[in-house]
This record gives sequence, structure tokens and C-alpha cells, in this order.
Amino acid sequence: MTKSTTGDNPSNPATTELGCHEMSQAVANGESPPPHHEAVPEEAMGLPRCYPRCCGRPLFRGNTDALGYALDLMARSTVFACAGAFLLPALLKMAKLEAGCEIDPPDGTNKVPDCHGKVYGIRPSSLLTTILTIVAVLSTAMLPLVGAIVDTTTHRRAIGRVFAFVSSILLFPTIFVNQDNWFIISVDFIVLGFVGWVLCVVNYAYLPGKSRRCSWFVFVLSRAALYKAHNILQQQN
Amino acid sequence: MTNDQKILNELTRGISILSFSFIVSCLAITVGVSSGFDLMDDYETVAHISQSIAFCLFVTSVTLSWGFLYGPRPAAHAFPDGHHSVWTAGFVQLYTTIGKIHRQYPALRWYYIAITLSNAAVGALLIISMTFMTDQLDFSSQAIGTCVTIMLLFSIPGSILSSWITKRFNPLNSSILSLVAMCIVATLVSVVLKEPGQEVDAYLLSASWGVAMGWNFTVDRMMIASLIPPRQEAELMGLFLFAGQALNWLPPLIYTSLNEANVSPRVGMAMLNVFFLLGIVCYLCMGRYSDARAAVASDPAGDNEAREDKTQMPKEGTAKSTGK
Repeated sequence: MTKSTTGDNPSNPATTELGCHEMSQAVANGESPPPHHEAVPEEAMGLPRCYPRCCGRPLFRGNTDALGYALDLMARSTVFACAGAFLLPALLKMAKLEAGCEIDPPDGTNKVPDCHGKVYGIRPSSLLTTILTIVAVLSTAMLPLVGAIVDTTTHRRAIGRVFAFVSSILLFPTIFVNQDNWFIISVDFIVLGFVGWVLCVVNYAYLPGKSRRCSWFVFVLSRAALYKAHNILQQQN
Repeated sequence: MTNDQKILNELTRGISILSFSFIVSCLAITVGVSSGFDLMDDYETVAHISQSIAFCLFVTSVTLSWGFLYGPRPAAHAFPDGHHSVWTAGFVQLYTTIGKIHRQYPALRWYYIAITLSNAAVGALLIISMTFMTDQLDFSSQAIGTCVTIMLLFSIPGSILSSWITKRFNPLNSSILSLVAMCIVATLVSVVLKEPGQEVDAYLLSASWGVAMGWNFTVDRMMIASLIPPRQEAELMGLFLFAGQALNWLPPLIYTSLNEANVSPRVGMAMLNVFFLLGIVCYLCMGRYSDARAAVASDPAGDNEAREDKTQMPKEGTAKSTGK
């Protein structure tokens, strides 16, 4: 697919950089930041016929980076929402069964009996929080390192592709979760959580465009939030 | 992506709507299929269905985005000559930024601590809720999926409410109120939900929680956007993202410890309130919002820092570019 001319093209000298400084100054002064891009005719974008359109207009103004970001965000969010809602509760119930605990209230009662059994050294009800603790510790400890690598590498897309592929490989076995493999799937999910988080960081690094000043983990929300804050503050004034 | 803020706003809205719609659709499809085929209590099959949908969507989406849509990008910057290696650069940057905030921006310091504490609790909320609903309330996969869907859907009115309250008060008061709302809902969850059969109560509380989360998420970002000193957005937004997940491991670890010590899971759920309350205390320590804004707006440190950064920044092109 062809890159959009509305995106930041590092080789395009006509693209004017709106630095974070100018943006925040505009916010502080209560002024509206000046636009730097004019609408680009669709023919000039060179978009392929298969590019998705809505109401006759190319989706996201033909900005392929924006569509790419939306698809990646959608993919990661859906995976973790579905896992949170369905896979993780299933893992918890499987762990309870392995620990010899009841997962349903006995007939005539409305309370699930307390589970005092253990699996792999912990109570089954600690499984999900243990998974989250491990993923969070790994992510927090590695954030500065991963951020620095992503920020300075000239191979961001290659890194993104590798981690997207690895995520797909790690996600596949979760389809076949069952009572025999729940622990392996739990470990797999920990690795998937970390790899998915790295993919998220690489994705963020795609958003600031060519601005060096805005490059360290600044993602689209920072600028959008600045803009929104500006509007709100203006109304307050 | 683009530098035009109006276009960026439009793109951000589009991205949020698209991703949000797909999440809700996937959850709704899984719940619908499990209900349609009477699989409500067959958690294993429901997990197979949800993971199959998620896998197909994930592979298709990342293939399109990373394979076709994203182009090559040059490095954002190279390391200054004679400075740290890639292994230590991020940590040194973090240390430097935290030191600078501690010395120069007391209001921002309290804000970052508040974000660290409150986001830790919000981040752990979903997993702790899942554990609570599965282990204690014996909810079916369908009921849990419905709770998550409701929570997500009600984050939209929460986000709108956030903008409305922020306009009428200010981001600081709105942030405090959002944490008060989170406290109230966490308390209600731990007090009201006791036993199986309380699905309707859980749905109502999920809606309240969704509103509180949407409110909190939106106002956090508006607050940081309005408090960042000039010329330091990159550095301080980086720290904002780090602060948002720096303590994400702590609430689940405390919950696990309480659980292992046979403490009631409802106490573990209520434990999140400690983080929210500490967050409120930190917000109160910030002082008046107008003073905090005036301090960062008039502080010349931003310009000085920017000049220092400029002297350390290598010339453009020192990092090999793979861009077009």
C-alpha cells in the first residue's frame, strides 16, 4: 500500500513540524494551534482501490499510519478484553478443579465452598492476580530499556513485525485451553502479556512522527489531550 | 501521523471508536453465541470461542497494519556521543526527569504520585473483579462477559461526564471527584456482592464502575496536558506513561498475599480504596490548580532545560534512517 501524503513523511521537506513546545504554548496562551496541513485530494494520495472507505471518503483521511494504529490497537485490546472476560476465568476454574475444589455451589445451597487446596504453591484464587503481578513487574522493569531501544533503532517496523508474529504464535495455543494444559496456557499468557506490551510500545513510537522532541513515548493521546485541554480551558476563561 | 491538531483529534476519535466497537462486538458475539447454544456454564467451550475470534481478528489486523500499512521509520534520535549505552539510557533519563520534577515542580511531583497510586488500582481492578466474580460469585462466562461489556459501554458516558465536570470546575477537582467515585463503587462492590445469584446487582455496579473509569481516564490525560511545562512534553509524557504503570504490580500482589492468608476476597477488593484515597491525598497536596498552572507556565526552567537538551542532542541524521 502506498503511504499517505497526509502523514509525517520524513523525506518531505514541505511537512512543517508543530513541536510540542508550540502546542503547549498555544494551550498556555489560550490560543488555537495553527494547522499545518491542508486537505490533500484523494487522487494525490495514491491510495489503492482496496483501501477502506466510509461514505465515499477514504477512512482516516487516507492516513495509512492512522489506520495501521487503529487496527493494531483494536487487535491488542480485543485479545486482552476477551482473555479477561473468558479465558482467565476459565483458567481460574480449571486451577480450582485441579486443586480438588468445588466450582459450583452444592445442591440446596447458594454458596461455593471455600477452596483451601493449592496448585503450584498458590491457592487457585491467587492465579489471576499472580499472572498480573508477574506481567506488571516485567513490564515496569523493562519499560525504560524497551523505550530506549525503540526510540533509537532504525528498525522499528521490523521490531513491530517480529513482535506481532510472536504474539500471534503465543495467542494460538490459547484456543485449545483445557483441563490438561491450563498451567502451560497460563505461562503462555504471561509471555503474551509481556510481548503484547512491547508491541504496544513499538506502536506508540510510530505515532509522534518525525519530531525528536516529542519522541520519547509520546503518543497520540498527548497531543489530542493538549488540544482538548486547550478547548476546555478556553471555555473556562 | 499528522501535525494538524484538528485532523489529529478527528483521527483519535476515529481510532477510539473503531477499536472500541470491535472490542464490544467481539464480547457481544461471544456472549451471544454462548447464550444461543446454551453454553452459559461451559466455560471451556466459551473460552475456545472467544480465543478463536480474538486470534482471527488479531492475525488479520496485525498482518494488515505491520505488513502493509505502517511504513519504515527512522530512529527518533541517536544517543549523544560519550553518554550512556542503550541498556542504561532509559533508566538514566527516568532518574534525571524524576529528580528535576522533585526539585522544580512540587505540584507536578504530587500529581505523578497520585497517578502512580490511582492507576495501579485501576489497572488491577479488572483482574481482581474477574477473580471475585469467578471464585466468589460463581458467575457464568456469559455473566462475566456481560459485566465487562457493560463496563466498557458505560465508560463512554463517563468520558462525557468528565469533560462536563472539568468545564464547570477544573481538572484537579474533577480528578479528585473521579477518585471519590471510584472509592464509592469499590466499596459498594465489596459490600453488596456476596454470593451467587447477584448478576443484576453486578451489572448495575459494572455500569457505575464503567462511568467512574471513563471519567478518571479522560481527566487524567486532560490534567497532564494542562500541567506540562513548555518544551518538556516529550520527557514528562514519557514519565506520565511510566508512572501510570510503575505500581501496577502492587495491588495484585497485596490481593494475592491477603488471599493466601485466608483473608476475605471482599477485603482484598476494598483494599483498592487505600490506593484511591492516597491518590486523593496527593491531589490535595498539589494545592490550588490555578497556582500549579501558573507555576509551570511562568517557570523558565522549561526553556533552560530545552536549551540544555539541544546542546546534547546529536545532529539530525546521525542515526541511519530507513525512511523513504
